[in-house]
Amino acid sequence: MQRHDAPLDSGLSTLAILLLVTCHSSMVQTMESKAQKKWAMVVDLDRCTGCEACVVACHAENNIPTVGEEQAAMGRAMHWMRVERYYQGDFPNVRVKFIPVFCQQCDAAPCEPVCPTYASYHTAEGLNGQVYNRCIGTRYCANACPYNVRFFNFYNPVWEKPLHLQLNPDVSVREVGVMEKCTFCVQRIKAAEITAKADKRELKDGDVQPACAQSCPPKALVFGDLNDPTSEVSRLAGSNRATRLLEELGTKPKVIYLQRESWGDGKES
Amino acid sequence: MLSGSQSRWIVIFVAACALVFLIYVGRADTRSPRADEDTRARVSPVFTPAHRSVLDAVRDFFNRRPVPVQPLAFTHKVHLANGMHCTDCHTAVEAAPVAGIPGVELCMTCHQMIAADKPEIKKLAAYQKRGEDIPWQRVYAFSPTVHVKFNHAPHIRAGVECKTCHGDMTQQTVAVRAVDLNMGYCVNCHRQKQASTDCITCHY
Amino acid sequence: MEKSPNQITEDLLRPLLRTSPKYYFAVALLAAVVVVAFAAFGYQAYSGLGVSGLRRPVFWGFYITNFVFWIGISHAGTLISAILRLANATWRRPVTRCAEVITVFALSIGAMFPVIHLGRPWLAFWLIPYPSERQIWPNFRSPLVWDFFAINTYLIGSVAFLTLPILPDWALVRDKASGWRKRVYGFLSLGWRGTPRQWSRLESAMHIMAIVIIPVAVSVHTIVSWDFAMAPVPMWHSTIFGPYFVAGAIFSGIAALILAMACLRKFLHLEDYLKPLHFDNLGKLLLMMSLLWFYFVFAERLTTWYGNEPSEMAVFWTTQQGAYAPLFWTMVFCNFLLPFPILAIKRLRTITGTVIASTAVVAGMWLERFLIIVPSLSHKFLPYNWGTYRPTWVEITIMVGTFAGMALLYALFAKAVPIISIWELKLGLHEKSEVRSQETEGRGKLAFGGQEKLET
Repeated sequence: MQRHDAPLDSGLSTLAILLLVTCHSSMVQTMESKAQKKWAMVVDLDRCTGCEACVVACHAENNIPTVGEEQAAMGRAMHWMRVERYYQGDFPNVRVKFIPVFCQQCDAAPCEPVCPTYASYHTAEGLNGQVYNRCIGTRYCANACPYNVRFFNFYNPVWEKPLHLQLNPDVSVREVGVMEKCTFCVQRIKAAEITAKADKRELKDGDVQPACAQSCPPKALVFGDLNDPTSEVSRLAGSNRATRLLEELGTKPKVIYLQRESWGDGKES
Repeated sequence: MLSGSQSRWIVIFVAACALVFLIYVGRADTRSPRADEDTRARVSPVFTPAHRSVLDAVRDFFNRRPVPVQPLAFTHKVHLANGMHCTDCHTAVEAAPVAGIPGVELCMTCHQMIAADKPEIKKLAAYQKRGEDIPWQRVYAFSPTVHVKFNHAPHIRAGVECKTCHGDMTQQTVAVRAVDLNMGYCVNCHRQKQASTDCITCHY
Repeated sequence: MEKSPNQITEDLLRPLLRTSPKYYFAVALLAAVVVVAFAAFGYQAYSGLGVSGLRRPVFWGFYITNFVFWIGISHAGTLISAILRLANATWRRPVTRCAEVITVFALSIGAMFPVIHLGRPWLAFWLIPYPSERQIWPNFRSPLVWDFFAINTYLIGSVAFLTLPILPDWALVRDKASGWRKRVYGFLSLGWRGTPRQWSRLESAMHIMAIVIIPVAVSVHTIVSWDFAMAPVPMWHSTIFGPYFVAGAIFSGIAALILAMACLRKFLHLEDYLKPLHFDNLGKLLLMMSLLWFYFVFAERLTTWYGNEPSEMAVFWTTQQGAYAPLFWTMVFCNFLLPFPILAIKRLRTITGTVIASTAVVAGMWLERFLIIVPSLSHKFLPYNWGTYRPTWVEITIMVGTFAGMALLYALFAKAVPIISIWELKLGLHEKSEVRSQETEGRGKLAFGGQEKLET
């Protein structure tokens, strides 16, 4: 029996793997060939002062709920954008390194293939879309994400009145049980696209500004189209300081960090 | 042991209960949702996307929504028959996400004179006198749980006619939900017109 | 010592035809616990997953632990029974059915957990690929969708595998019973009359099922392991996970089977059927799986340590020396250090001994599932986001409820179906008497339950 079974079994599994691979690659290909825009963000760590204006702006723009003291202490706070702090050296020669971390909008995003319902998926423009109404809350994407930038609504969010009047009407208010994360302010991208189309022109560099980039006092955050060689992000992405977070995982992030020049060599500046 | 006829009655009873429940859930809710929301709003110190009750959640799950009851017996039919156009009142439709519902002032520019003696117009005038806006009810709103960000303007620019989604308004008095705007309806049209069917075109 | 066929029928049908008040009490108690667990789930569905202890970054906790654990337990039955059937091990006869039942129930319970752990469990049906006007399908690249198909396939397969050999027994109950029992069992036995044609059909069907179910069972737990291995999470993203999980599943499955058999033996007074021999044989199997399990853990840990990859080492050290070390070493104790001597020394491999070892193994394997999931999630790549996890009463209640549910289903099943296959036992007796008459020397040692079937 076993003699008959083994080739059939391996044949079937080879077939299945081939099918999966072709499905996957064909999808990736169609998406890449259709892409006109490749939205990306550059974070200049030399400029970042860790002021967290971006965090506040992101909360205000994207209707991100505050979960309260108790829940936050448990680790359920939601910040699509956060500024991670790392300390280097021993007292008194301590230096703090700030890294603003938000969804890296990976081209090979680990969150996408694991979602059973396509709630997390790759859009034609290379964004990692998050479709709230399709999300059933497996939280698999959040586990798969190496950057920990996905947040789950453990309870229904609550705004004390009249604070609800500041909610952004262009952005959904997410309910309990769905995942959410930085969208690169997709509502602003969509609005800019519609305006540009109404004016019968192409989007130009600077038309779209996510809330974080708009509010960054030292202009450490720059947003734009990587496929446009003349854009500011393209110019900065060519810098020799350009790196990507956890690049070795092969996620192909579209957030580019410009390393602090004074830091890499360990010299005090 | 139950006899055959006993078990048959049990089955019938259970089926009847299920039917009653489904009818109760699916029954068109004729309460004015606005009035309910108003009292809620006064009571609740917080805003939340949570459903108001489990029953409400079940209705939303089965896509059952209350039938709006309008404060005035407005008639689209008469207005359109008299040569008016949609955009005369829904002025924002070509430029904005929402088409806009005219304020009482706009109504009264005509109804100061026209048909001023009709009872409905008197109600209208009374609203203006009190300085209140007319509490119109949304007819075509999407449930917040479907997270649709619909924008009228690009649709109008793409040449979609009003009646594609709203039915023949020349035959309606107060607007009714003539077309079931479910996702299949939207996606079909998007495919036909080769518009984007990317999820985040509409859901974000 | 030998039982006559009539005696066997009498003994094994007794639980079906007579019920003691203690049974009702036990069932009521278990059902109460299950109801409380369902209420806890209702409370969670109503309020949101916030009532569980899950948090960022540990988005999977007790629920997925229990999911993997129960799916693992489910490997006891069908797989072991199928292998023993194919190997023609005659001692299997009283064991197979109680094993197959574990599979069906543990699988059903395990399959509930992915739904329980959903943020919006009422939308779980989106995993079913059904055509809709929205023209959206499940994402077939997602291991969770593979899970959905694998578990359902295994469930259907093992229900068939369990039910097929029950048919003759149900027919027997039909013939023995009267009143409503006669009607119900008459319906269940699907017109079984015991004609030679039916017997040969049954035999070939069982043979086919036994062969088919083995790759299915192996694939199911492999796919469960891929839920983890497909995600780039330190210590999850490992090629060893497939076989590692399958071995662990069989390991915990055998332990669960021994526990179930010990309970049946005690409560249904089956001392003459589930004999020390069965515990001894299963104990040997458990010993082998314990060694295999230890080998896998050792291989996994050693390669990680030598690889010295920073993100993996964070998880490695937290389990070896850090916050999770007490759990880790308890696991090693339960899964290897305790069962190994008990099972390796023949004198200790008694019923009591195997039950002690099995209890330890079940607990240890539960810990293993927990230790695979939680330490990795709490120590992912960016140290700024490291976190902890502590379950709440909701998760614990639901977990206890599933254990009670397993016991409840098992108790109800033992009331509805002869838990030991009557016709297979009789067949065994028959074959043996034939052998006896052939053997002039009277190999008395080859009593019922001899290690190997004689070549015929």
